[in-house]
Amino acid sequence: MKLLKKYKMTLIALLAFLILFFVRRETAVSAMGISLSSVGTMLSILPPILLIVNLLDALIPREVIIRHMGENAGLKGYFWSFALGTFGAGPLYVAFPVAALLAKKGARLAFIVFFLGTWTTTKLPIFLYELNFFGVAFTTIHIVTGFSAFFFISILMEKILLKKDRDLIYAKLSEK
Amino acid sequence: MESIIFYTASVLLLVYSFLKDKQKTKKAVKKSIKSLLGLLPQMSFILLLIGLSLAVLSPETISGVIGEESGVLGIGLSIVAGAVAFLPSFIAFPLGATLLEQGAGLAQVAGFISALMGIGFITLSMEQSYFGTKFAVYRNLGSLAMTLLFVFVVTIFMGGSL
Repeated sequence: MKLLKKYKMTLIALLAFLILFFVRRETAVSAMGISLSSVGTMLSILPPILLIVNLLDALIPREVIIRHMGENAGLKGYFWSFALGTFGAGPLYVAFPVAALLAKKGARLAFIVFFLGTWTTTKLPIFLYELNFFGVAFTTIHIVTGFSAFFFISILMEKILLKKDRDLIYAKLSEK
Repeated sequence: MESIIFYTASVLLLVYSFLKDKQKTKKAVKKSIKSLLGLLPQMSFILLLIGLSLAVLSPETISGVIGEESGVLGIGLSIVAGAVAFLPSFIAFPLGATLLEQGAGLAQVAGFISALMGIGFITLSMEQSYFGTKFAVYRNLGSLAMTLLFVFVVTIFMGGSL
């Protein structure tokens, strides 16, 4: 019963597949193909990332993160969030365990938001792709608007929107 | 390519950590297996949803609704499509270029790509389980605001039709 509850959403998605299969067989088959190839992507990234995150959790002393990304890190903290976000590779779900590690080690909430913002705006290999396909102007606008927006959002979330929820969020993240 | 780097890095780190502290390393490995198993219900759901969303939102479907003349409605639709779809960003940009060639507007493609990278309906359940509902919702709304700003600035500086 507990297992059934855990996989409730998966079962719902499978049901959607089944319905799609009877309505539009070809679409369902191609959807299954895409899902299966995504399994490969996930297996190629998620297990090593989780291992790296947990090993770093054991290896890096809390003071190091606090010094560079803690409450009093200032602009240096933004730099590190940017650096980690832009060098990190992989889909968004890979960024969550990394963010959890940073939080566990005492990183400031605004830096975690900015880290996720950087991750979703640009990454080093992707930057070259974007430049190549869309040109300098487009890429520059993307990066400048992205960073300024997330700078603002990170402060807004920390100081106003999540002010009361901060401890709850950190408690939740430290369980991960 | 990415997977080779990640696996190599994790193995090197594992060896280093093992030499430094066996006990802690064992604990970290155990914890990694536990978190991987803990993520399985969400991951299986996410993977199924990725297939469904991409099969329904094929490039042809997307370029059909976000043409140059589609205006603000087209921008709205392209942002929704980007938020619902799930694509690695090294595919997103070539796809965006293809959409442009097929007649989609620059503002619409900018909205699609930015939403694709920043707003994640499919990963929302996982984001919630990590950060809680409030954080996840605000972060995604923040990405939406950033996407709107990006579209707006691209339209002003690079033409394109709103």
